[in-house]
Amino acid sequence: MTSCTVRAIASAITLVLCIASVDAAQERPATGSDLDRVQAAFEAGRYTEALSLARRAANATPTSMRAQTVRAGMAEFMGEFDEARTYYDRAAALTPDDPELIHRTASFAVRVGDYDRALAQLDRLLARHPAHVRWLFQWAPTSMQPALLRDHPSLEHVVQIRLDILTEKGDLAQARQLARSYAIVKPGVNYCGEAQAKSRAGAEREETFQTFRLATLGQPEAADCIWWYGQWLSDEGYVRLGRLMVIEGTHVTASAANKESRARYLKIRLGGNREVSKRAEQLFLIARQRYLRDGDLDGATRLFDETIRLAPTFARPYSYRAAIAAELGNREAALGWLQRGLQADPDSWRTHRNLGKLLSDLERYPEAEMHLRKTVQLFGDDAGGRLALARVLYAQGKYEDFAKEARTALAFLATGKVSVPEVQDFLAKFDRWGPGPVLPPAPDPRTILGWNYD
Amino acid sequence: MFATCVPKVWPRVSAVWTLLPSLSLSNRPRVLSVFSRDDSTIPLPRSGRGGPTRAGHHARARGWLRDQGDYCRAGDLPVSGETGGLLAMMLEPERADCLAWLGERLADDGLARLGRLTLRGRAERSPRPEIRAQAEWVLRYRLPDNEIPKLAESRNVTGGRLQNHKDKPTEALAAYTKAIAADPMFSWPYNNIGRLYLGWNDVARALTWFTKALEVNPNHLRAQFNQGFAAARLGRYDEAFAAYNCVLTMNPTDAHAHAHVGWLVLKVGRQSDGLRELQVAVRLEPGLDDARRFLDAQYGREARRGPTPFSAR
Repeated sequence: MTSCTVRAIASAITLVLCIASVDAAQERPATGSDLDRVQAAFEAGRYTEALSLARRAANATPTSMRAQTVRAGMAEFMGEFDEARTYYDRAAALTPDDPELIHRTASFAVRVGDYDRALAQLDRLLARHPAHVRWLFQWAPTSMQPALLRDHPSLEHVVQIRLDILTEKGDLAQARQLARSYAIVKPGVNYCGEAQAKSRAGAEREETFQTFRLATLGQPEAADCIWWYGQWLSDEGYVRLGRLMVIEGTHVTASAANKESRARYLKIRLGGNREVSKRAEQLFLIARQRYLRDGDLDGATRLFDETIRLAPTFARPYSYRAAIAAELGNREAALGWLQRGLQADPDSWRTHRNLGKLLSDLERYPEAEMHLRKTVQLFGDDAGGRLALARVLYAQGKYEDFAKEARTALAFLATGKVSVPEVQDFLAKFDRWGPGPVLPPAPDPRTILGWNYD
Repeated sequence: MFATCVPKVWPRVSAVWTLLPSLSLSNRPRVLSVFSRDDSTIPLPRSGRGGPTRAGHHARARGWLRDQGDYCRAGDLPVSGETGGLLAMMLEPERADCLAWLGERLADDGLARLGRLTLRGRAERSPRPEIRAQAEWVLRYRLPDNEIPKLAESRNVTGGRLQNHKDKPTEALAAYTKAIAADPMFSWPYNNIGRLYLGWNDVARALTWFTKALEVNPNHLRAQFNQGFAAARLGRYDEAFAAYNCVLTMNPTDAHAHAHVGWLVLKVGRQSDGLRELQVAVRLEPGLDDARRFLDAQYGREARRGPTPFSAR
């Protein structure tokens, strides 16, 4: 066991003991089993139940900082931000100087886009370090900082979250300066090359992601990597940071063609200049998890509606409301949500695509064709969209157009070495025998980072 | 000193649990000696003919008798939960619902006869409809549908031990074959022979044996699952789907069947259906790591863990 590991374990034990000693003086002792049940439900992925149990525990022991914090944490996790704020405040009123709680409230402030409050909380956290550590953190040369951050991991996390805040606020210059001064990035290192090599080699996704992040901080000129990082973030739903990175990549690149394609990406994938607040983005991300992972349709619906209220021109939540409506068997309502999505953002490639595919499912082929044509017009490399269009054309007896679109899609997929044998087989039979009674398959292979999911 | 109290990591919401005290459920006090109890005044249970039961005499002789005892919950009995359940069955059959779980465990251990005995009583006598339903389900899908001769059961158990604990598959095959000879209508040894062939990577022959097991007992849940698995390994996807669908008809909450269907559906290109099946599987069984990792790759990391893409990782 290394000395670092020993230190980390010792620190963790001390942290728990510190909190336990604060708690012991203030709270009723009976909450352990209640909170154990919350924990068990949480670990089993029963998040709604965990929140419900956390509420009960917090109500039963209003003077327990832990119970209030657990309720706040669960509420934050579930996207119930007003409730989270209330209970973080209650916990803070019970133990205002608890470092863990300060840390959590700072994190929550970032979650809802209250960056100034988050920075103030980080300053409070920093102030709890001994004077000499603070002095070194502020004034010691860069060469000394790695050792300082290694000895005081909490300082590294303060730095990292400041980096995130500065980046999210769009102040990349200051974020890069901060990253350099604390040796998070080092001069002369080709992070972009590393990230690209990892990506090609099929390295662990998270490792690749982190290297792209370092490239954006350490290599302001690495337009391609900044661009890829932005596309990655866009796929994950971090549309704000994704947009900032795409804009930065566009700003840095010298190629006019790249500038044009990135401007188009911004317009058809990230809503152009339509504003999405941090709170709305987080609500959307959490709603998506509640829907996709938890199957919590009611909770997700409520959060998507709240997102739409906060950011009415943000197209993605409309698509999810449509998906939920379709899942509940109400396809007309689903169509309505997608049409509202297009009213909110008429250039949303994904919304046209979703609408075209739903209309195709409903056998409303002429309307489906219109939206799917728009889809491939917006994004010509959309092989899945083109195959969906080909199927709709076939259904209407437009066989020549079908064959043309299907071949274009296959040719594009072949460049990425993606095989869709069912389409190839169908096309071969079509070429030999002509049209048959069965509609062609329309698989939707994932090919390009940044265009995969909303 | 404050410095040591400062958190060392940027907090994740889920990490709040690390602050909670750990309350072990297993530190219930161990059983006290029951021989000091005076149970001479407790009336012995009566048989249907009015006289005391042999089980009652036996329990009294060992100090296990309890006045109006709930043997399913008798924490002071110096016996295993299994024996407690059997005492409940014999002494207090009206309060023996723990047998519903015990019966399934007995089935897992290969004890088909005792499993059937315990569960038949629950299916007929439990005052709780959900227990009756559970017992009926286990009787139907997890246990043979006919009375198994003791010899066939014992040979099958022997085969299981040779296969799983002694790593003697050839001897296990001989034991299973003898079990079939003792009762050709007992489907378990057929299924176990199929598992042996899977272990030998002879998937086609394994599939034949799983199919034989299902011919003998079409409700044999595990054989049905194994049939799906073997068919999928052989690339016979339609057969695999059909088998897994049967499993899910028998047990709609079978996480592994949902996961296998999910992987198969993805393999044949039905992306959204496959993801949905994997979602169901992970919700039912959060420990399905492959499925969880795959879903992470599809949906991005669990964004709820932190407020920024960096902190969520």
